[in-house]
Amino acid sequence: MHKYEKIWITLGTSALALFLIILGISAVHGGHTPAASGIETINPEHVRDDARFKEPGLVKSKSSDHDYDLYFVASAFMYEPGEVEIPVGSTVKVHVTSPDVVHGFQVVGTNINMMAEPGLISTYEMTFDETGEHLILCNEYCGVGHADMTSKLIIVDGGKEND
Amino acid sequence: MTNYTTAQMLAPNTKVDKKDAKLVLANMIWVAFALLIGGTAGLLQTLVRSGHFELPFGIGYYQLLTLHGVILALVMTFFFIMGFQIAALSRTSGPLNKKERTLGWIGFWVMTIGTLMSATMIALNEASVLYTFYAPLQAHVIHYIGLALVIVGTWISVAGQMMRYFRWRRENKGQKTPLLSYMTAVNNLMWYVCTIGVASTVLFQFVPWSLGLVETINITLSRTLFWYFGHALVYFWLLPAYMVWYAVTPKILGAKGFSDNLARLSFVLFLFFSIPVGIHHQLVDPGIDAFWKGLQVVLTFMVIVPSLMTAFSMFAVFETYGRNKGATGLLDWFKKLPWTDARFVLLFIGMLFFIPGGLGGIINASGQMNQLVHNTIWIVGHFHITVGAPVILTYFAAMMFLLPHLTGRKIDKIANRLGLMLAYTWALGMGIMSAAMHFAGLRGAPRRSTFSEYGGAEVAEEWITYQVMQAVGGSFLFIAIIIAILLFLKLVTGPKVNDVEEFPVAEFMDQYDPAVKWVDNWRLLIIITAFLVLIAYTVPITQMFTENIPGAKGFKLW
Amino acid sequence: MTQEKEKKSVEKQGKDNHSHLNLKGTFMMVMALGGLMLLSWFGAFILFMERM
Repeated sequence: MHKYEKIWITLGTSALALFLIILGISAVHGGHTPAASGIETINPEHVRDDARFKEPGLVKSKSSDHDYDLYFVASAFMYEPGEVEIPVGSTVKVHVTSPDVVHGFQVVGTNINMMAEPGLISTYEMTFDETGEHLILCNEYCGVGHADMTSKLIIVDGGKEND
Repeated sequence: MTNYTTAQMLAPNTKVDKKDAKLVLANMIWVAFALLIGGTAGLLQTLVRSGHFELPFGIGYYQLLTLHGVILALVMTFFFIMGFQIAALSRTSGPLNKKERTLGWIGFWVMTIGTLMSATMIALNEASVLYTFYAPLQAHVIHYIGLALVIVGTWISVAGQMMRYFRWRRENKGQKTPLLSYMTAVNNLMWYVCTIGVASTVLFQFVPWSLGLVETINITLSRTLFWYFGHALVYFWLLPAYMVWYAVTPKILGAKGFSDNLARLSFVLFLFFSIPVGIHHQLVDPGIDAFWKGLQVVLTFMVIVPSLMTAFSMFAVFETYGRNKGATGLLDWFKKLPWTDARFVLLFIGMLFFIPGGLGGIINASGQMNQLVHNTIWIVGHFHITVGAPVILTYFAAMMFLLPHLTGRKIDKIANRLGLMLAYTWALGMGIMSAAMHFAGLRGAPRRSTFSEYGGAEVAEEWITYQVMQAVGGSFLFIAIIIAILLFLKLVTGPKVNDVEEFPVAEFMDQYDPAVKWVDNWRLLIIITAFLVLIAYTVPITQMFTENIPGAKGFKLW
Repeated sequence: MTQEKEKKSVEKQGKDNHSHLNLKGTFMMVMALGGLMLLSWFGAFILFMERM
């Protein structure tokens, strides 16, 4: 091997290793593991019989690690709820599932971007520090009305707890 | 049927056998046809997404998108790869024997039948499920069987190719095998190992389920089996381009290849690390534990290393060539490169596209950072500057010498000019389209979506500007495709000549160095490949069976 | 015949038959490539952290 090639491969590989280390630290210590990781099942034909998804929306959390749980049902071709208000500064755990086909769940302008699949619940926790509106859309093809699937997260000032 | 010696392999007048040539040409006809159909679909998609055009005759956007994906990502690439690899074997190892060639033909016809079955179902709007066919969207069973036959067809053709390689090896015990033949064999082994995934999901999940024999399907499992295949698929596209870069390009320049042994080593690394990485396409899927996602991210990063090696080799070949031509200074050698040779310009522009393509790929594979880009149109931009530029432009470069070589002609001035036009038009179109896709994707614009204003959301308005740019790029690409078709026609018509176009095969600087033994130890290669697959996949797939994930019923929502 | 000769001369050089090559330009290009790799990745990482 040429001397320069050795240097290049060593430096290149080190850069890749550095990226992996940063990702690893961010995942383990920052709690930023990839969205929707883990296995939490639900019967897709009885999503609406499940207390959590009966009237999906924002509810005060019983757990101490986050302030709210936000439940979403993604189905062809709509999200429920169609709009949610979240008090600024709160930490929210989003739970999404689908009663029919695979959908996407992307909150534009945030890192919430995950798949919603029948039979499983996808979750992601995040803190909303700024007020404003975020479009939610489906980014996995789900049928003819796929591009019409939208919802909205509105981050609001003050103590409003529910929509 | 004789085996070629090194001298025969390196001789510029050694030709692909006449009978093999027919088989290769049959495959290439499909390439041209698929390019035209798929390219037209692509143009229409960008026009629809610009918001200024509606599809006629009740054609659905997603029907068109399914056609675009299946015909380009599967059909066009597969036929090219089969044809090119057969040509490479026949050119460097020696003619195929009757049995090997017959397998090539059977494979060709099985692929053809499969393609026609799927195409019919797509045309009838019975299979608008996109090329990834994610369950529980349920297409007609004939679509799935058609796709399975396309894969089975490649298996048969590949069987003939493998027999050719191993015949050379058996009859020349202990010798270093011809590099292009070796690379073909590695790519084919990878193909056999990875297609087990897609074949199993189609055969054991999709077919019984779409026939109604079983009511539900295990979604997580089907997605995981698909992507076990799906990422190796992209390397199956890429490796023939790498074959041209490593083993043909130096000869196009009239220079020597950098290192035969390093080229083999990089191919072995691709074999090892292109399969146990499919979960990086499912980084934000539920049903997989974070640990296993992380492990496959690490394995994915390993597959970047051989591409770092390739980058060095290519620059080294170019620099050495330029310096032999009298270039001095740091970068003067660039000027010495054959900028008027369309074969070179095509693949060089391809290489340039691979730089942002590779860099974007590292970002996509970076675990949680995938959330930034997952299923946004950034991803579409990414694979259009990987498979849609480096790979396809290199395929075009290969077709430029293959088509006249196989039909007894030569690249003339007009063909060369068409080739240059193709390269620059493609670069312009793809440059505009992919840049617009990358920027729109970072701003959140989704992929796989027809034109939508998203309920009047402000951010969606921004995306539309980018979508108009994509249509501009798409239009240039369509013009490029027309040029490509004209070029192919030019290359196979006109007077036959005695001095037939060369299939360039490079000699390497270390051509006569002893072979590195272990890279040709196929038992070892298979064991390591299987071992890595088992490490990466055993637990996640087992969990998909043991965690009682409820199955899903089929839906036809288009 | 000439091939034989060439073969021998190459064999003498053995595995180091690359070390005599002047690859300064190549080195510069791959370093630039490495620089781009760092830049693009950290750019994306910063964007990711901003959206956190």
